[in-house]
Amino acid sequence: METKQTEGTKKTTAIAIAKKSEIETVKDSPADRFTAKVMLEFPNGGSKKLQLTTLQKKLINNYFIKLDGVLKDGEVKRLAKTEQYRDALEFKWQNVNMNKLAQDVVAYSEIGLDPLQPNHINPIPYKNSKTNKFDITFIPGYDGIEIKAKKYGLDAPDTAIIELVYTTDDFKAVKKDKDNPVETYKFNITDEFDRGEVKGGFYYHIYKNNPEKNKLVLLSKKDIEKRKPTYASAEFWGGEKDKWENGKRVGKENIDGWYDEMAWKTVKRACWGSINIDPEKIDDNLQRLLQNDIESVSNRVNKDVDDNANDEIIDMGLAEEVETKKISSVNTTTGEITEPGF
Amino acid sequence: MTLEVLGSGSSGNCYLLKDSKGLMLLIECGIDIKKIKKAIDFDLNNVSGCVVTHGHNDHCKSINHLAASGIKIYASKGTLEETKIINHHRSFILDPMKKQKIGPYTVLGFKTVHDTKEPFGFVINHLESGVIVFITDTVYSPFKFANVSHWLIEANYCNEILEQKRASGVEDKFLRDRILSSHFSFQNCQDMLRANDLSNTRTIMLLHLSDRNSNELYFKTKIEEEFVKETYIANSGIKLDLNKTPF
Repeated sequence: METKQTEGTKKTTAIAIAKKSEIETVKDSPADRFTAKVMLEFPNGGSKKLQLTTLQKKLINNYFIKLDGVLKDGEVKRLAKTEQYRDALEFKWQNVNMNKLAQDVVAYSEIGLDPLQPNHINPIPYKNSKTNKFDITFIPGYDGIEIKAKKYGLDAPDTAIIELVYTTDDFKAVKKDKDNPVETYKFNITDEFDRGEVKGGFYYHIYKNNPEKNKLVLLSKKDIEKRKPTYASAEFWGGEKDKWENGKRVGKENIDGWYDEMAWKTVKRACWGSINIDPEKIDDNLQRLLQNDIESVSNRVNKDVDDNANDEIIDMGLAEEVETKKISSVNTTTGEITEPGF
Repeated sequence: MTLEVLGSGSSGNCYLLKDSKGLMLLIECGIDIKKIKKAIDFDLNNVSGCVVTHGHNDHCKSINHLAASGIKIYASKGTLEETKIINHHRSFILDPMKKQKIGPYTVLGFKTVHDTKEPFGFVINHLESGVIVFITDTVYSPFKFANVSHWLIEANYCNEILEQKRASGVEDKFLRDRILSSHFSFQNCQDMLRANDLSNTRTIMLLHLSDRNSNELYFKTKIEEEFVKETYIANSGIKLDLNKTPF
């Protein structure tokens, strides 16, 4: 009997050890260690333990996976620079401001933003020269802005229609007036596969149970381009960029880019970015998102200034002198100067 | 050499250089054409040209009128395209980093950081004034400059004032982000001056101050105290002696 009991106990103990070891193996995964670190770093203001839901834990794991990739990419780019221009601070976890990151990932996971979903939220490391560590700044994508607007918006619409309008499309806005209680529009694509040039776009907020509140907002091409980021990359928006050969700038090249897609995304950002926040719904998580949103632009600008300001010297005495170019005949489509003279 | 400020700020920018022979160079033309004509005393023949930094209306409002009045326009190819004046026979392309003669003035255009197509700043040289650096509507200067006698440099906003205005809701976040991404802060302006050798510098003029996010007196005092140079704020109507030496 005793032997049986001992064997049974041994079996139970063995199973327990196996389970424990299994748990430890899982717990030991880098993503889980990251979650544990987040819980450790999170300032909880006393003895109250930070409670995370299963979904939040899953999302925090995703933040780890995404950030790990971002840091590795950053390190590859850092090492690709010559020693003269290479920053000494390595892109590695030990150099990340974990306290700030812990607060951010808890807040963003609570809102439901998943960095592994396209256009939810993008982490960007910026070196903080005061602490000599990387602060991870999170930039919400256009789907992230929609999630935020739906969760925290004051009278957010149920859904929205976002479209670009091309030169061959028929579009007519139907505004609200005494005879028409619902603002709407007529939109007809006349040539599906050759719609011409983008001439603008619109978004239409739909309130299913209260269509009188439906709202149509038009954006001209100029309005869209006004929202184009100052640092917009030619790879995305198209246009000219520096051409490099053997480490030297040899002129400019034209890049096609993805103008239509970028324009549509801009209209979508305007659509959900226009929703006011409901003061009653503001919580710590949203506060954090709003604060980081504010800091993201200054961080980016400061980095650009640190990297590129006051660099090469212009000396008028040494500069090459050229004849002034007179132009009169320019191809307005390509911008090519075809012949000089009047 | 004299400099007259005909306008500075978001309501319109225009500056007039005039040498001892009466030959003039306009920098920007973002104000009403009538004001420009009055300032040059309708002496269009003695205007060597007008250099334009970029295609925003507060810098190029009268560009078509000037060209139509017989004044040559000089700007980057991008700016001439953006202002739709590139086909005009009085439009001239300034190549970046190359100096070109405009009457008695030698002008070199250099790239700046603004939300327009190919924005430029200018280095202008004249026997009477020495080297003048004109830089506005940019987040920072990518360059340093040698032997500068006079700085005409934007100091659009003060970081602290802008952040206070945003926090109190006076300044909208969209606008605040745009200002940060396209204009020279007072702090960046100071850093730029610190990065340059100012031993040949006689004057510093601060341009394009924001009505809401700057403090004229504070900016002037701080620059004077730190750099010990004649410092001016570009208020409309101010006229300055811009000779290389005061005597």
